[in-house]
Amino acid sequence: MSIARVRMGLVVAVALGLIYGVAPAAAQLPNTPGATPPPPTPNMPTSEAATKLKGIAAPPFAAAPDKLPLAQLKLPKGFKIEVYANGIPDARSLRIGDKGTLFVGNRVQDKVYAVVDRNGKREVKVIASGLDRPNGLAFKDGTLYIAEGTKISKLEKIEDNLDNPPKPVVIYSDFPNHQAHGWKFMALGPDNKLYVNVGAPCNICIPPDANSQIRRLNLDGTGAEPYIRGNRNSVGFDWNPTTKELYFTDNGRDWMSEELPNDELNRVTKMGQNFGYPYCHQGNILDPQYGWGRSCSDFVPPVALLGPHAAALGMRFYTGSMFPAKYHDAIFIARHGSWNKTNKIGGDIYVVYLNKDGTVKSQESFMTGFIRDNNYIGRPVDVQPMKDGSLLVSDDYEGAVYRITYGNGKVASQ
Amino acid sequence: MVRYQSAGLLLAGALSLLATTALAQQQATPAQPPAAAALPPGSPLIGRPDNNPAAAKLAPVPSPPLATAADKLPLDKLKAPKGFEIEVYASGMPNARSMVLDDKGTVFVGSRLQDKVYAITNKNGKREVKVLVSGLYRPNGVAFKNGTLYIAELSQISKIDNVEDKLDSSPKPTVIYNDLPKDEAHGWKYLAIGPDNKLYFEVGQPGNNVLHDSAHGQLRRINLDGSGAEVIAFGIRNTVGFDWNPKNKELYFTDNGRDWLSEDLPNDELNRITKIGQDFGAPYCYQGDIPDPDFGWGHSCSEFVPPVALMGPHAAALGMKFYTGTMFPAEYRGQILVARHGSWNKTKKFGGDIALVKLNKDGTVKSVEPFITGFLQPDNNYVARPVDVMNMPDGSILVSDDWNGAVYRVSYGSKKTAER
Repeated sequence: MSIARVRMGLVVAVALGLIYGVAPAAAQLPNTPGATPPPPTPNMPTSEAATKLKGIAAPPFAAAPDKLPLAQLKLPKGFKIEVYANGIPDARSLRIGDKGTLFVGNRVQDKVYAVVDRNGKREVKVIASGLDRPNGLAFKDGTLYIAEGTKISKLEKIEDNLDNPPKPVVIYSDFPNHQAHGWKFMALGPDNKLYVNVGAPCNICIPPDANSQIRRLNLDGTGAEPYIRGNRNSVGFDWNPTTKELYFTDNGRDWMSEELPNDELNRVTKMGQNFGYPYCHQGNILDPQYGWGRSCSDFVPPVALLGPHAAALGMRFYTGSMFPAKYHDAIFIARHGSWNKTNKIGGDIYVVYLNKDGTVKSQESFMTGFIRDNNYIGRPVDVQPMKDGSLLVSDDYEGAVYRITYGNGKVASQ
Repeated sequence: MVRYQSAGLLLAGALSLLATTALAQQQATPAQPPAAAALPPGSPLIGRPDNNPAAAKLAPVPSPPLATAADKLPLDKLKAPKGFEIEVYASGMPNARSMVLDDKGTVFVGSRLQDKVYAITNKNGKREVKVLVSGLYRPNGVAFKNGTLYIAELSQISKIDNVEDKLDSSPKPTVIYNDLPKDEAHGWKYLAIGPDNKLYFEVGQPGNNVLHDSAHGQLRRINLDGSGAEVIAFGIRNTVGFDWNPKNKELYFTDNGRDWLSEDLPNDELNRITKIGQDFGAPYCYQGDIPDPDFGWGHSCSEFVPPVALMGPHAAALGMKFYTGTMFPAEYRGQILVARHGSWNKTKKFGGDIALVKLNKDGTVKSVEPFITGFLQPDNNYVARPVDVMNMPDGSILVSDDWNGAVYRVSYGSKKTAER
């Protein structure tokens, strides 16, 4: 990162005042009107090393294409990476439309983007702006669904109207309004319902009943109900293509320890399951504040531990065939990377291999290199398989989307 | 949510990237711990989370102030593997803690909450309990060498020469070393004489979890005359038991993990010193792999020597001895017996047993398993609490119990009667 960009970041930080310096869990959040600010962090240690740790604000502008860290990213043999799209500040969740349009959401910016591919020539358009943390995206039958901080809206026939997009129509707005973990991940389930994360409004607290759940609702906004509970903040989930079971990442609490607890990969085998927050973390650690008198055996343990503070976010089952057989039906996970840890971890695309019965066989890093000398040069947020079997990766630090291919599939095609 | 708002702003001030702005400076009050209701320094209740009913029920479990009458001791509740027998060796010693045997068969027993050191004499199987010394302050540690009894109190170490000749004369101990802090928390001492003929004792952390100074959190040794004090090991929270591997003379010690981190974490540790000056992590790292929530930031557990075994969360692993006898079956010989006093900082109590730690040939740990149980009953209450274990020359072991003020003898085979 150039000095110029660091300086620019500082200027913006100063200009925005406290907004960028609130509690660490929410360090990058815009000041959403009416949103409950993050509560104080209990037991935040006063040790000097701890006070150096805080949320890492991304540069406010997207990096120029020739500054993207492509050369530093490392992939297994036979894989290639290229820039799919750039100039998308705060590029977060990814979805593909029926006609091949890539949609990209925001978390600290206010826009939803469309990336249109015409014979390999790609164009980036803003299709909605002025939104409140539009992090979650889902697509069904020509309609793009957008999950903001406190509502879900839709853009019908969006792929036919990319140059003249309609105004989003709100279909659901019964969400609590809070800054910490207020942005949403959203996905369309095999039951044609929208699934959306409602995170805990804090690092660690007894969440209100409306929080700490993955909620589902019909495409028209009706029938909302909690699907599972006891998640802290899931920013990625997908369904096992074989069993149709939901798997979701969940980010572990902060300020407990440099090495604990781990982020979780969870598997839902039954609606209504509780995954432990705020009482039990990673399936075997009772919380120092709220765990007393509880037992981890009262909750569903994770199927995999994804690293302490790793910020395991977007995940998808890989259903393509371009990648070698070992990756088929494996889970790709974007680990955004830690802030609450002196030596950063994560900052990679991670892969979790499953057994036939849906349990976890093994896990490893797939693409690394986003952390360099304990600093980020990019931060992956979401992954999205393409129809040709290539894999897209969003990077909110550089404002770009990359495409990973295997073998000769050099040109993106739809 | 007004409360959140203002606290959030305060925190923002403390953490802000923008500490240089006037607003942030004005509000940059460091985050304060929850208001503690005037707890004394070192109180075990410091760190207890507020507004948590289950946590509010947890506090150190006080033992009965009087010793239990011999016929009321819970012998029938204590369970040992087949072939072992448990009997009462002596009773009527309130708060019976650490034990040492002299060369004439007398067992000396220290206390922690009482002011006494007891002597259990044994003449042809007839045992008698005497108060050897009283008026001491937390005389938990006892050691014996060449006719001399050494006593470790809270902040001094003293000796009684030719103690065997003074069992009935209320001897006055002579102080040999007192360059020690006076903290109550973890201030009582375990005392043992090493293969180098030096006295070893710990200076624990002065609290549950504190960034201790250079006089605390360590194992020290001194010559038998009190000279030559030096630190042997660092990063110890509170060891109340150690012994030397008879095979290679390496020191093994128990260390009690911190409280109020979690019901199930961290574990107590069994540590092994392979070199003078090793650091075992407290307060930065517990059980070898948990950086402390308060002090671990910026540290890595790899900076410290990890334990050779985990002894259970809050188990209070105290006195330990290598079993040097031959009375017990072969699988016990050369292994470590550990008295786990039992937990208080845990809703469902854990420990309250004598654990058997089996070693591999190279001194690493093969397994940890309960050996004598029943001190902690299924109803989550103690009927006894073991503190120390000691080898007897005939191969039996003694176990002290500060809950009942008694010492038990554990034997194997048909040797029902204690012999000397």
